[in-house]
Amino acid sequence: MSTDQDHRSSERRAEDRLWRFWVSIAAGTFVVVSLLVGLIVLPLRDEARFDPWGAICRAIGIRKDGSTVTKKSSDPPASSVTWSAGTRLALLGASPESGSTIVKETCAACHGETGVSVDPQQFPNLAGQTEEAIFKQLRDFQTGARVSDIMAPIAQTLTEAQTRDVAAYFAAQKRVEAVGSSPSASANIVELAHIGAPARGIPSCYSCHGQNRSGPEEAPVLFGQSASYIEDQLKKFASAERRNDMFARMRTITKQLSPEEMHGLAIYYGDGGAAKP
Amino acid sequence: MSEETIRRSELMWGAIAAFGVGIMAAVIVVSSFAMAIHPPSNVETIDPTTLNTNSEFAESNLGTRVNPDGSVTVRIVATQFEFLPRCIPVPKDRQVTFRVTSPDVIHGFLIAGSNANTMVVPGYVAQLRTVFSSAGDHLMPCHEFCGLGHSEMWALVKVLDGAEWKPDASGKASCELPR
Amino acid sequence: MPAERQAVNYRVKNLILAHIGVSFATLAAAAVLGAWQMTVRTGVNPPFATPETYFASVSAHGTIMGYVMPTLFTMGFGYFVAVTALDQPLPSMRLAWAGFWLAAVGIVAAIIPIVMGKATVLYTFYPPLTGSVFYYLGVLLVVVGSWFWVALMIWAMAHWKRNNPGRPVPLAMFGTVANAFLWLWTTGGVAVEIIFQLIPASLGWTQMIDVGLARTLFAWTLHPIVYFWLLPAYIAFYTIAPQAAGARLYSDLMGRLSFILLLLFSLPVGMHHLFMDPEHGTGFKFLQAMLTALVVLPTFLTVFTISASMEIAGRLRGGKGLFGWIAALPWDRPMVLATCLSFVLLGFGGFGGVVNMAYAMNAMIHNTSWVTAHFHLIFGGAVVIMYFAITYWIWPILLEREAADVRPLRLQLWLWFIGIVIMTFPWHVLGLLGQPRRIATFDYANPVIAQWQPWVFVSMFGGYLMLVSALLFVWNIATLYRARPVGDNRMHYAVAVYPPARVPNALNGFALWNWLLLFLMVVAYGYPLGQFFLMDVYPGLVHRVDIGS
Repeated sequence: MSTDQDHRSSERRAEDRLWRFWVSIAAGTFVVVSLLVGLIVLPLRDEARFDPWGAICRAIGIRKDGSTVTKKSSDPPASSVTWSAGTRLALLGASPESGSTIVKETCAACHGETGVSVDPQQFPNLAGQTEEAIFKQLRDFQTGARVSDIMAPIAQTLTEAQTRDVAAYFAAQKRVEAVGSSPSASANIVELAHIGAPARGIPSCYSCHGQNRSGPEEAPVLFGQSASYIEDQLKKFASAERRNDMFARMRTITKQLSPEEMHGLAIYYGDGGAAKP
Repeated sequence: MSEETIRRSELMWGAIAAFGVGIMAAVIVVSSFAMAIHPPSNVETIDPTTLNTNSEFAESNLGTRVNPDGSVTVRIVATQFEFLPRCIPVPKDRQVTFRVTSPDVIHGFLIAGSNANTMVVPGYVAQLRTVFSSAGDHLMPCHEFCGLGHSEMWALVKVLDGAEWKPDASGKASCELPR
Repeated sequence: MPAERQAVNYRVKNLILAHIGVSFATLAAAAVLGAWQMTVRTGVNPPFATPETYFASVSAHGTIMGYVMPTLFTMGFGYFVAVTALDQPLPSMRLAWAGFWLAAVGIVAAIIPIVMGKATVLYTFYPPLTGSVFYYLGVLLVVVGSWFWVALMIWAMAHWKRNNPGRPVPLAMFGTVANAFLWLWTTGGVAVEIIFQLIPASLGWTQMIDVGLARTLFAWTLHPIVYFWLLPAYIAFYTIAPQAAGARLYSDLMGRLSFILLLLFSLPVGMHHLFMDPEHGTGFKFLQAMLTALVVLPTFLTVFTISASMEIAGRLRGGKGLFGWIAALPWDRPMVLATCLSFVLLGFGGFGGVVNMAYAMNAMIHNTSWVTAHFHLIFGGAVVIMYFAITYWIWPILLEREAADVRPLRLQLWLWFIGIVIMTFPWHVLGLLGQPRRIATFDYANPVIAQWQPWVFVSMFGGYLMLVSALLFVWNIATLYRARPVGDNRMHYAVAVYPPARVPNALNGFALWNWLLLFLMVVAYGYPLGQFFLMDVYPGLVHRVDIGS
C-alpha cells in the first residue's frame, strides 16, 4: 500500500516537473522574443545607423539628449508665482496674527480692518478671500506682473513672508455676503455662471470660482465683491490691460464674452448670488 | 464520440486559437515595422509647477512656428480649462510636431478626424508628429476629465493649404476663433 | 460526480442573497444615472444638468459599476459555488459576514462624498485631482472586504483538497479560486496607489504626487479588473449553460485551461491602457501589447467548448444537419438564451478590443467613445447579461421557489441585449469620428461636429431600453418571492462528457501559475514602475477638489 502510494506520488512529481519545464520554456520564449522585437528590432528600424544599445535606451525611455529644438523666450511670465509644494506649505504655515498687525498698519485704510472695504467699487473686499488668491495678487503687484500705481508701492513694502501672513489673516475673516442691489439675473447669465458656453469654449464661472475648488489654485471667490469692481476687472482682462492671469486664462475667456455678458455676470456675482438657482 | 475524438478536436482548436494569436501579433509587428508607427512615448520630463516661468512654454513662445529647417512645431499648454493657444493653424502636407504639456492635472489631446492622440500628463512633454493631408477644420477637445470645466476645453486646428498658410516674418503663425 | 446534485444548506442562503441583492440594488441606481448622463450628452438639457451634477453622476456610475456591483455579485456567486460544488460548509461564516459589512460600510462611505460633490474625480481617480479621503477609504474598504472572500475561497478549496486527495477540484470551484487569485493580484496596484499616494494626498499630508507612477499602478488594476468581472460569466458558460441546455460539458480540461489562461493574461497587460502616455517608452508598451494578444487563447477555447457542448444538447433534442441543432436548443430557458446573446456581444466587443490593443491603431480611438463602447459591450453586455442569467438560475434555488412564467425573464434579457447593441454601436461610430468620452456637453451647432448628434440620440434610446430592462429585472426577482414554492433547493452543475478521474497537479491548483504570473509581472512592470524611482521625475501638485473656498 505504502509503496504503491510512493510510486504514485513520484509519478506525480515527475509530471509536475514536466509541466514546470514546458511552461517555463513557453513563457520564456514568448517574453524573450517579444522583448527582442520591442526593445531592439522595432527601435532600430527608425535609426539610420546600427546602434542596438541606443535603440534599447530609446525604447525604454532613456533620453540621451534633449534632442528637441528648444526655443528660448525672454518675455516676463504673466506671473512669477509658482504653485509648488514649497508655496503651499509656506502658505499653510503663515501667521494670521502677525498678518493682523500688518493689515492694521498697511491695508486697513482702504480694505478695512477685517477686510470689508471702505469703498468696494474701488478696493475689493478681502474678507474670506482665499489665501492663494491674495498671496498671488500681492506678489504680482510686487513684481509688476499686475500693474497698479496704488498697490505696487504698498505691496513692495512687504516681505514675501508678510504677504503670506496678510493673506492668511484676510482668509480667516468672515466673508461679506452681498453688496449692492439685487436685480434678478437673466437665464442666460445664470447659465454662463453655472453651465458655461461649450460652443464658445467658456467653462462655467463656477468650475473655477465655485464652492468645490476644481480649477486653478489662484482662482478667487467672487461672491462678496462689488459688481462694478468685477466688471472693471473683466474688461481689463478683455483688453489685456490686465495680464497677470497665468496661461492667459481670463484673457481667453473674456475675449469670448460680450460687454453685456460681462456686465450681467458682474451683477450676478456682485449681488452675492441672490439669484442663484 | 470517443474521448480520443474530443481530445483531437481540442488540439485542433488549440492550434486555431494559437494561429489567431499569431496573426494578431504579426499585424502589430508588421504595421509598426513597415509604417514606423509608434505611440507617443518620448519620456521627456519637465517641472509642471514652474511651467509658467519655463522658457519653452512661455506665453509668447506657444503656438505654431516654422523652424529654421522648414519643419513646423506647435507648442501647446493644456491647463484648466483651456488649450493655449485655442486656435492652431498648421500647413497641409507637411510634417507637424506637436509638443504639449500641462502645469496642473492630466489632460487629453486629440485632433478629431486624425490619428493625433496623446495623454497630457503633468511632469512630461507629450510629443507627436503627424501630417495632415487635407485642408479643413478639426476640433481638438480635451479627452481626459480635468475638472468641472472639462467639457468646454477645446481648441480648433485649422489645416491650411498653400495660399492660406502665411506665417509671419519670424516664422510664427496664428489664427483667431470666430466669436 | 459528487458535485452533481447539491442542496443549498449550511445557512449561507442569507449571505448569498445579501451580496447579490446589494449588487443589483446598486446596479439599478447606476442604470438610472447612466440613462440620465446619456440624455445630457445629446444636448437636450434634462433637469439638474450642470457640469457639477454630470461629473458627480459619472463618478457614481463608474464607482458602482466598476467597484461595487461586480465585486459583490462575484463574492455572492463565489460563496454559492463554494458550498454547492464542494458540498461542504464555508470555512468561516463570521469572516464572510465581516467581509460583507466592510464592503457595505465602504459603499456608503464612498457614495456620500460623491453625492456631496466632494469626490468628483471619476472612478479612475487620476491624480493630481484628489477628492475626499472618505471616498478613497470607502473604495478601499470594499476591496478589503473582498479580500476576506479571496481568503475564504482559497481556504475552502484547500480544505476540500485535503479531504479529497487526488480528486479533481470541481470545475466551478476551480474557476472561482482562479478568480480569487486573479482579484488578489489585480487589487495590488490600486491598493498601493490608494494607500501610499491618494489617502496621504487627500488628508493633506503630502503636497506632491507622482502622476506617472499613479497612472501606471492604476493601469495594473484597470485591465484585470475587467477579467474579474468576466470570470463568473465564464464559470456559468462551463458549468451551468450546458446543464441548462440539457447536455454535458464537452471538455472539463478546456475549462481548467481557460481559467488558468485568463488568470495569466489578464495581469501583465494593463499598459495597453497607457499606449498614448508620454511617461513610458515603446519597449514595454510593445511587450504588453504582445501579452494582451494572448487573451485570444482562452476566448477561442471557450467559444469552441461551449458551442460544442451546445451542439451535443441540440442533437440530443433531435436537431439535424449542420445548423439544425441550433434551432433545436431550448431557447425558452433564460440561461441558454443569455449564453448565446453573451457570445454574440463578446464577438462584437472582441472585435473592438483588437483595435484597442493594437499598439498602432490605438491612436485613432484612445479615450474616445469607442473605448466606452468597447467596455460597455464586454462588461455591460456580455458579462452582466450572464449575471442576470446566473441570478435567474440560483435565486429560485435559494428561495426554493420557481418562476411560474419565464417570458418576462426572456423579455428582460432581450431588452438588455437590444439596448446595449443600440447604445454601443453608435458609440463606436462616434469614437471613429473623434468624439471624446467623459464630456457633458457638446456644441452640435458647430458644423465640425454636427454629424455626431444623430448618433448620440440613437444611443440614448439604447440606454433607455437598458434602464427598462434593469427595472424589469428587479421586478422579476421581486415577483419570485410570491412564486410557487417547489421545496427543491438542489444545484445541478454540468458534468463533462468524460469526467476526469484525475488531473495533473498543474490543472488542479495554482502554485505553478502564481509563480509564472510573478515572473510575468516582474518582466512586464518591473522597469515601467521602477523607472519612476530611477529617473528624475517631477511630481505634480496635489489638486484637491473637496476643499471649499
